[in-house]
Amino acid sequence: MRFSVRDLVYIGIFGALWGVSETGLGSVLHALRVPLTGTALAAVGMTIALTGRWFVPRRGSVLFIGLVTALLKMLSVGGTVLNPMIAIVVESVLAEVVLMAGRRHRATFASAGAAACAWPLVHPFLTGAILAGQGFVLVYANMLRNGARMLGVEPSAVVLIVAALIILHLAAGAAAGLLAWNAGHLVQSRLSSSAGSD
Amino acid sequence: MGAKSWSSTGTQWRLGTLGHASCLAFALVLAVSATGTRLLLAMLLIGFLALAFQREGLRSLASLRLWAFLAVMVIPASLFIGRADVRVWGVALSHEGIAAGAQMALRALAIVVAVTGFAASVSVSEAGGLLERAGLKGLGFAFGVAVNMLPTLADTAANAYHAMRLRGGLRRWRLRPLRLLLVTMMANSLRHADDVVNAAEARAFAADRRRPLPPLWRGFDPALAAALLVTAILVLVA
Repeated sequence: MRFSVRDLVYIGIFGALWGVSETGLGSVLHALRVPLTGTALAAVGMTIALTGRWFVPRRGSVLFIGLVTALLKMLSVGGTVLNPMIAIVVESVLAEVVLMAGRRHRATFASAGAAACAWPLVHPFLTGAILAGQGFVLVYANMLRNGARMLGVEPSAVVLIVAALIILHLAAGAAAGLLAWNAGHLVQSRLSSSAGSD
Repeated sequence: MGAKSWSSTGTQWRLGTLGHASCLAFALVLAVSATGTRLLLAMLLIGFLALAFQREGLRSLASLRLWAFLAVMVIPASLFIGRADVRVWGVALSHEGIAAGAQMALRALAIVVAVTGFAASVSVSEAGGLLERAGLKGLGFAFGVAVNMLPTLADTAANAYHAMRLRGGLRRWRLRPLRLLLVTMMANSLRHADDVVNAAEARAFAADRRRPLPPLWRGFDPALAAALLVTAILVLVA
């Protein structure tokens, strides 16, 4: 992964933008107890990171943006930093893998966003399993089973609910990717027009 | 040898990045792998390491949110794992579930203390240096740009938001105004890029040029890493 000085400056700026959105928007969403906050933050973060890929169209740029954001997260005073750091790094890795597999195209950006935004669905269970061991997954499985029995809901309904959540996450990520593709065009044309008028 | 520094709370040996990373790896491996009485022994060792080298990690024990998170592990496990064989305040719980929940909570506590201690003890420039040594050239510079640009970007974002709001652009939260806000924030932020690039190039900075990085280890670190490796093997295998 070789980047020029300009590439690294852009990576730093987009990493800082992601970090600002994590801190600012994250605090507001958590305070308002908005559901699926992780997904919303992942979608916003991916929009920023994938727009960064527009300006630094080299392998590893999204990963670097994610790593810069994760390092900025370490500077957070108080609160848990481990979970958000893991989420940011994994999301950027997932997006980077998809971007490396495809060519520079709107559909690739959408797929990268979808792959990254699928992670918040899995994140609480995997990190819980890492933190607490396999018993954590067993607890969740038993809770789901008992909850379905208590509510008189068929186990297949739980499957439908999970499927709906998966589709929601993928759709949010795809929208973020498409927005990033569009935003990249608009930002570049705005910068070009202001440079031309100077 | 590792530098010793006196603080108001007593002596604390100072470690390098390698030493702190060894303590973190030791804690993570034991917390994830140890069970039963070995987990209790692991907790004692991790607590000793935190007291000796990463005292900031113990401050996380004062967090109410952490204890609430641990309670969320123990209570459902007591209710849903195993057969109910004891009643506490009228609620049927199981010994097996309580033991499983307590193990989960201890494991989570060890990891939180270790990670908090590591994050508080290793400066971000040292963490960046570690990643640069791992092949991620230029990450330290990009991070430095991000840190220095944070106040500027926060102001830029706030100005763009208020400007749009005052012009009535955010009267209805639809996709177009939000996209416009995002584009404005990014464009205004990227206008600073040229200044930073010119400043770096004027100082003959190049991403692939070798430059001094923060020291990776202090004198005590390799011995500590070896001792922790042997201890982890003894705790898990013996």
